[in-house]
Amino acid sequence: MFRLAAQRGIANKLAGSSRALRASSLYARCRSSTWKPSSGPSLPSLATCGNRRGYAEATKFSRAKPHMNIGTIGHVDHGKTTLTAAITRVLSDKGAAKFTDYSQIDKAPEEKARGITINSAHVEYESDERHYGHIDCPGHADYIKNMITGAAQMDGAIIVVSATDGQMPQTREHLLLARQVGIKKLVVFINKVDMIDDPEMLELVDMEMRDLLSTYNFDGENTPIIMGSALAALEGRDDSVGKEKILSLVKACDEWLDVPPRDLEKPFLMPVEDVFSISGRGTVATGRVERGIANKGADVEIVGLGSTFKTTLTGIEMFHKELDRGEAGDNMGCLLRGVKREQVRRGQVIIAPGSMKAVKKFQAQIYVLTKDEGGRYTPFMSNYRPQLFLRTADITVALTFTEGTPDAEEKMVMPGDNVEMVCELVHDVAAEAGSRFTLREGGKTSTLRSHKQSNPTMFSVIRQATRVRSMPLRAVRTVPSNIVRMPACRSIVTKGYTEEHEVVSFDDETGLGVVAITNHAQESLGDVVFVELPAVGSNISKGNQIGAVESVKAASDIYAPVSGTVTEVNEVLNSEPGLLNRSPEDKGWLCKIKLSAPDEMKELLTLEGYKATWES
Amino acid sequence: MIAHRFLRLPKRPHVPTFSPIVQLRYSTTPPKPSLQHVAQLRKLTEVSISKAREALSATNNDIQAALEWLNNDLAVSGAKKAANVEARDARDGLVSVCILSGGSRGKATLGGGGIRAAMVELNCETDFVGRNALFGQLAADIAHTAAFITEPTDSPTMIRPCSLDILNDAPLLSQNNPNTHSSSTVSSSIRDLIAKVGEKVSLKRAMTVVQNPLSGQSPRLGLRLACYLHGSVSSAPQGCIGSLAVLALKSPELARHLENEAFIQDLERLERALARQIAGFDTRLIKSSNGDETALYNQPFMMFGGQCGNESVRMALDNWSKRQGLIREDDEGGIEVLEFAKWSVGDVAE
Repeated sequence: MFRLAAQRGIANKLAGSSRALRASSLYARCRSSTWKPSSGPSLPSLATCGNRRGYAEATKFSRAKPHMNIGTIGHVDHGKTTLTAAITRVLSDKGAAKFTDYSQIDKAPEEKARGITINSAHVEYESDERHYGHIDCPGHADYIKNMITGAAQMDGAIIVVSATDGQMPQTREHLLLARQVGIKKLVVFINKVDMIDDPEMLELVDMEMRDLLSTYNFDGENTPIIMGSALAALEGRDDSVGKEKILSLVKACDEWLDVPPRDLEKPFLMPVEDVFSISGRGTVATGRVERGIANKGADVEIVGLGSTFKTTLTGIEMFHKELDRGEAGDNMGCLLRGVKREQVRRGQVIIAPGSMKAVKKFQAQIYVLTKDEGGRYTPFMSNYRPQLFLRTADITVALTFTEGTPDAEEKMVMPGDNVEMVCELVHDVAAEAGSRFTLREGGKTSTLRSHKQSNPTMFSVIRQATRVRSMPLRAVRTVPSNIVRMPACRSIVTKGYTEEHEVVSFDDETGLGVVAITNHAQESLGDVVFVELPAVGSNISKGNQIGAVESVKAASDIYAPVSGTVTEVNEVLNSEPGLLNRSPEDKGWLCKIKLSAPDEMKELLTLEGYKATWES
Repeated sequence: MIAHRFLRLPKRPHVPTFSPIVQLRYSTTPPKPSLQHVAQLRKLTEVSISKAREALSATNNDIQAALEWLNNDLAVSGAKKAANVEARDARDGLVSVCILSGGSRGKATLGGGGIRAAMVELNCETDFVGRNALFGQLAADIAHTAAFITEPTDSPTMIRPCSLDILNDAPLLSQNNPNTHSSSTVSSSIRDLIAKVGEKVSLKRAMTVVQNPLSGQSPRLGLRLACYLHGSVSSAPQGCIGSLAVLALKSPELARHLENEAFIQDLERLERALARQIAGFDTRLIKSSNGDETALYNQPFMMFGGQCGNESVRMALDNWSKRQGLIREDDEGGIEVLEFAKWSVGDVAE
């Protein structure tokens, strides 16, 4: 060990630290994997995600409740519009909506969302549980257009049936539409109950609707059916069939319809916009996080454009500041461990491993813009090859009709049509069912990074990612399979640093602190070739030497950042000392200490404080 | 006298007591239609619940009688419903084409090589109804009726508008079973559909092409029909855009060609491409001397597959005629588009 001791001075010089500064430690508290959906600070980023829903921006409603888009479907005379007006009327009494009268909704204004004309009426309101965006379209094609362009996705629907008529021949088409736009659950409102004298007939309507729902693969048995009168609610009379039923309808929506997972709850995804090589640090990919959360040190997978491989996020940077985590809405840079600049390209995505696959051939529902909407003038036929733009990717695609289409070679698609087509890409790209993309005329875009892209001529949404091309995964640095992951920390983890480049993550639930060395120390040391470990069960106090480390460049002692008992040491380091160069989750930790005085954590540095000491 | 009086007597006391009973039954306790009956009646007829109840009440829960009652009532209530929705806008719907005889073929062709077809536009309010099978069936039947009832005339154009008054009063000739003789006319069938779907349904326009074979005038001449319907939901020839074109064939050896099955197949492929070209592009006339691209002959024939993507339609037709041996190098004739019609749903204001 004397050899280590002799070189200690060099190591200290290298790290440029002084123990005297330790008094300036700050208390650091970083939330790791726990994110509370209802917490305040996350809201602005959610509002930004809402941008793609064209209408949801300017609103006085709080975004604290989960948002959901629903629509009304039903026969023209069955009171869809009256129901919509009645909901806003009833909820406006509580201040949870702005009363929108029949005439305002019924106009179904032609909206120009992203250059596409859609006939639809939008209102919004709030229940106790949720915030609803409510759309009402006149026709089948309008709903489909909405769905494809994403102008107003329906996550659920209220189907309105009049008690006097019961289901109509076209109710079939209404349910087919709901299926087609991907709605899994419906709520039924049987309207005009005040216009029939025999309550037994309501049973019949109920029975028939449940039958029909089951026929079209909805859960007919459990679908809530509310019977009331929208007109009574709108006119403020007969509360028992009016107002109360509207409230129970809203409640049924709250309880039965499922809110789509919010962007933050989904697995991490960041499309790569640009790639840089930063000398001394490595390769950085930048982009705007589309969904999910990534923590520094997390494993990620880079997918698309012919190569798929795994690596680790060694750093997250935003506005030239290093962060511990990035989340949906952030424009950030990712420092990727062991990745060459040429390996990452615009158009690929960085994702939570396994959360998405690269596909080369898939089936998509396409809406072709009319020439008034800025689209094509002429029809196209099978094997048309436009450019596909999905996130940051720009790939040539061949469009063909779905298998089994009669006379496919003679079939044509005209502007204004919505069609289901098979898309075959030149390169694979990360995609899944529900991913939206645009198609533009081929040959007009000169370079990948050109901001002067031609206008989209088609909007599409992937219906089925069929024939997923399975790519062999190539890990940049192979992680030994026998390594057991640390249990995920579900409680609050406090992370503190010393100037000596030790770092400790303290889990307040288990009372254990995991000791490792900081990223900076890992980098300045280089590849570790030898590690000395403390003895399990030994009592140590803060500042005691608990180990030593030797690398190809230098050697250094490791001091206990906190006091306590060593409960476990990372014995894998004996055989594979290089693991110390990794994040604690990758077994790059040294030992675990049962803290005797957790308050000592407060005396340690924050990440910022730590960086300030080694940068100065 | 006594006997006579005696005979009449028993009847008398019944008269005053009978009518109150009748009134009593209808005013306070009508026979309550059971749920099963209403459900059954609705399965059979697609009438509304309230209508089904009314029918059963009136007929004492007798399904057969109720069906009859509904049939009679349909005229009245359908008319009432139709009057209710009359003021509304019906801009969606279908263009439907029926071709009874597509023109010159081999010898054993129905109609001897004449052409007989019709195109109609039937409107409704929403495309939900437009996509419904009942609506599609009615549109097809009306087109069938129009094609069937029209007589050839000597007018200068072959494609002629069909009088809606005559068509409305014509008995509806179903396309599927031409032998069924129903009492309903086109207008009453429309009314019945209004009663069922509750939307305004109206017959916007109709046109027919009826022409006797030209082979009577010259064996070198033949007529053909081409049609394309875009955006059809079912397999029937109906959709949101329809095109119908009359083509002429002229060749010294036309009869020999028409007996050749391979020639007919190739001809049909060309016809479908022409009809698609008319529907897909902004086609307003057949020929124009300048480079006007709304003239069919000036357009690049993109719908004829890869082989002549950059050729104009005119060139492509000439080349095709030569390739098929219809004409020799400097001959007149070959294939020619005489007339066409192109309709899109809702493109003509009422």
